[in-house]
Amino acid sequence: MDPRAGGSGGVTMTDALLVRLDLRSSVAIYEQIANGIRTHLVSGRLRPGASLPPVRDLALNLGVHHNTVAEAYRLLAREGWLDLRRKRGAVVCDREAPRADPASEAKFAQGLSELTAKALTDGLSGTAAARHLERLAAQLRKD
Amino acid sequence: MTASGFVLFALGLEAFIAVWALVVPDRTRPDLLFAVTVDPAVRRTARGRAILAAYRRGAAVVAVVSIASCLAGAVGHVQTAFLVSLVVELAGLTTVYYRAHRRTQPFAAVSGTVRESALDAPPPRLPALWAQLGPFAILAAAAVYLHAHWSQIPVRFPVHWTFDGRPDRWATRTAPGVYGELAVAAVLCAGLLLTAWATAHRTRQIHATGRPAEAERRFRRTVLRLLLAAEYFVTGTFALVARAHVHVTAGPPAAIPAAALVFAGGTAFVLARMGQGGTRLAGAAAPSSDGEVVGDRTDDRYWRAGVIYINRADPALLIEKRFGGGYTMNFARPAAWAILALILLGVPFVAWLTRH
Repeated sequence: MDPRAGGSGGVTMTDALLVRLDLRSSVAIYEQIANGIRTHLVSGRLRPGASLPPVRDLALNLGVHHNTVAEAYRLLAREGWLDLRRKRGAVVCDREAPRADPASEAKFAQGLSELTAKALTDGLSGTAAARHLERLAAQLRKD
Repeated sequence: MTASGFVLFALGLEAFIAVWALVVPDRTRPDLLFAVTVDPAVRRTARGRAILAAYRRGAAVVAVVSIASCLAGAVGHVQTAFLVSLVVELAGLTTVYYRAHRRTQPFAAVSGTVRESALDAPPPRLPALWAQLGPFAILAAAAVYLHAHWSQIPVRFPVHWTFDGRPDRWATRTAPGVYGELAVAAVLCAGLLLTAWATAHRTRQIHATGRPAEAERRFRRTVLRLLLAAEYFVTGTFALVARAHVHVTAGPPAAIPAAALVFAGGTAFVLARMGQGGTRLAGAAAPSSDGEVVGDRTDDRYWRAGVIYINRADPALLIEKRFGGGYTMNFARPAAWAILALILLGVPFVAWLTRH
C-alpha cells in the first residue's frame, strides 16, 4: 500500500507520512489524528486514489480505540477528503475545493490569531512563531 | 538419552534459565526497570544500582539452590528431582523479580504521552505461502508413509520414550493410534501459524521513523522466520517419530532432545541479539521525530505486577512483555481469554489423546 498514489512505493524514513498525537493535549484525540492526516492531504503528499491504513491497523499502532480512528476518518469524509466504502477502506477523494465563503477567511484569521496567542503564552518566542508562519506562507505560495 | 545425559540436560536448562534471569534487566528498554516506567538515569543512581544488585544476588542464590537440589536429588529419582528443582527455581526467580518490582515502584515516571504512526508502513508480511504449507506437507507425507507401511507397524507400538530412550507409552495399530500424533503436530503447527499471524497483524509498531523503527521491523521479520523454523522443527520431529512406528527396534533418533535444546538455545540467542526484551527499542526512551518522548503505548496503570496487561482502550491483542522476552496478551480483549482457555483445555486434551 502506498498512500501517495503514483509514488514509487519506496518510502524512506525521512519522508514517512506520520500521524502524531499527544495524550496531554486538550485537543480531542480523533481531532489530532484528523489534523495530522489533513496536513498531508493539504500538502498533496496524500493524493487522490491513495488508501489510508485500515482503521484497526492505525488504532493498533497508536494504541487508541478503533472508534477514535473511525471518528477521525468520518470527520475527513464529511469534509470531502475521504471516501469511506466497505471493503475498500478509506480512499482519498479528488476533492473540489468549496467555494470561498467570506466568513471563512475571517474565521481563519481569528483562529490563527488565537493559535499564535496561545503559542506565545506557552513560551514560544515571537521570532520562532514568525519563522513558522513564514515557512507555511512560502509553502502555500509554492503550492 | 541416558540418566547422566538427562542430568546434564536438566542442569543445562536450569543454568540457562538462571543466566537468562540474570541478564534480563540489561536486555530491557532503558526506560523500564523491573516493568516499571522510570527515567533511564534511575539505573545509574545509588538506589537503582542497589535494586539491581539485590535482584542479581537473589537470582544467583535461587539458581545455586535449585541446581544443587537437582544434583542432590539426581542420586534418587532423576526426573522428580529435576521437576522439583525447576519449580523451586521458577518460584524463587518470580519472588525475586516481584521484590525488585515493588522496590522500583517509588521511582515510577510518567509514561510517554506522544504517539506516532506512519501512514505508509504496511504490516510485516508472513513468509511465502509455499513455505507455510511446507510443514503440513511434511505431516501429510508422514501420513502417506505410515499408510503405505501399515502392515509393517506392530499391533502394539511405542509412541513415547523416556529421556534415556526406553519406551514408556504404547498405542495400538488403529487409525487414531497411528495418525493421532500427526494430528497433534498439525494442531501445534496451526497454533504457531496463528501466532505468526497475530505477531504480524495484532502487535504494534511502536516507532514510526529512524533506526528504532527499522530495528523493530527487522525483529518482527526474524520472529516470523523463527516461528516458521519452529513449525518445521516440530513437524520434522513428529515425522521422525512416525517413522519409528514402522522401524520399532531403531526408535526415534536419540539426538531429538539435544536438538530441541540446541534449537531453543539458538532461538533465544538470535532473539537476544535482535533486541528481544526491548533493547532494540532503546530509541523509545529517546525523542521522537520532533523531540517528544515516545512511550511503548502502554501505561503502568494497565499492568498488574508488571506482567499482566489489561487495557480496554487498547486494540492490541499481543503486547510485548515489560520483563523477560516475548509477548503477553491484552486480557481486556475477549480473544485473549478464548486463547487462554484453548491453551488450558487444549494441552490436557492433547495429553489425553496421546495417552489413549
